Amino acid sequence: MSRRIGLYKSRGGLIRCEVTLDRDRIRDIILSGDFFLYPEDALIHVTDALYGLSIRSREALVRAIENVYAEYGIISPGCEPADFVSAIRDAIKEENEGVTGEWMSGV
Amino acid sequence: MDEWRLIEFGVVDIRYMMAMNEAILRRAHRNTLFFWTPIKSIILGFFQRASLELNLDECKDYTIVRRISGGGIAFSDDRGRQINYGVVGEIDGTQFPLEIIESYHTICNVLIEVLKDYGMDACFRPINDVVVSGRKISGNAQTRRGNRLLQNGTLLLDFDVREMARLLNVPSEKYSDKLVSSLEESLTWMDRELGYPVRMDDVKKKIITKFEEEFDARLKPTAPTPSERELGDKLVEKYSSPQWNFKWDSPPPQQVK
Repeated sequence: MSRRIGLYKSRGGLIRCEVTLDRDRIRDIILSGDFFLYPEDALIHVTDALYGLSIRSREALVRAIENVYAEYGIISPGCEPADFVSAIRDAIKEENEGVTGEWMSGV
Repeated sequence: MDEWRLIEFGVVDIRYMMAMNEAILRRAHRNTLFFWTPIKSIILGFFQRASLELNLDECKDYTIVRRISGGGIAFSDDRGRQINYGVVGEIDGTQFPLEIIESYHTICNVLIEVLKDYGMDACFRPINDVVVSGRKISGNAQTRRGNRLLQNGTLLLDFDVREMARLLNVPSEKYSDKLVSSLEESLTWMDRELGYPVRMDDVKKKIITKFEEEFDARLKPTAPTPSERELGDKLVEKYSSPQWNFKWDSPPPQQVK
């Protein structure tokens, strides 16, 4: 298992992702950053929907998040479901293994 | 004409202030504007993770607290030269629009008018910033509960960029200077724009006047209600706990202050 950290700068803010993989499947994931997402408590449902999914299919990850957005009426100005997936994909780039995050803040 | 409440908290312990912030959102019986002055505090956005955003070893004499709204860090140095505000209002589709960015804009307009009064070229930069000549002078964060909104924000009168750079998480010394110049480029503050230290009381008076104009309301100075105080006193425990402030960091680091 490997723990990786990635980030993606969306129009609505910086998304940070810490993901633990079991082979190609998401074993654990924490999404954080300076974006806005309403209702705030719904972010947990986004991460819940990603557990067990393979990181190989970008489309499947985006679709899983889009389904949660629809189910919970999530709004995140300037920050799309695909942007969270971009943060995950950044984390799984080979060179990011074990790295503790980008230094630049989202100021 | 509506009558709103106006509450001045002055210099505060930020944990107590964030507790009162939530209490007013949950218990206010009418629209409310409140001010406080933060000193040496770091307020994390709801989704931020302290260990990734901050160099925690350098933050030991700061009070770190998480707020209930998203967005980025609100940092205050020891100068006490920033105005922090909160607005709690009912989303009625007229005074406060349902659409999120529009409602940010509505409240930010008050600050923009104040800054224009001082001769500054201020405008709204979606999603949540007020900028002067492209540099951020005010950051704002909004959350909602039912048909109510809470918007918090800061207006910088003076700001210690180097101190902020010291507290942020950077991988090595060589990035520090780069970060300082990047912050100097992206942020600004009233004293810098005006070339003299502006009086905080004057700025607040202007905010109140512009608020009354923008919302066609009269602001009546008052204090929190007993119901808000009671809830605020209970919520202090949450805003003092590592489980809340250092969410996702396990084990949570010891907060010295």
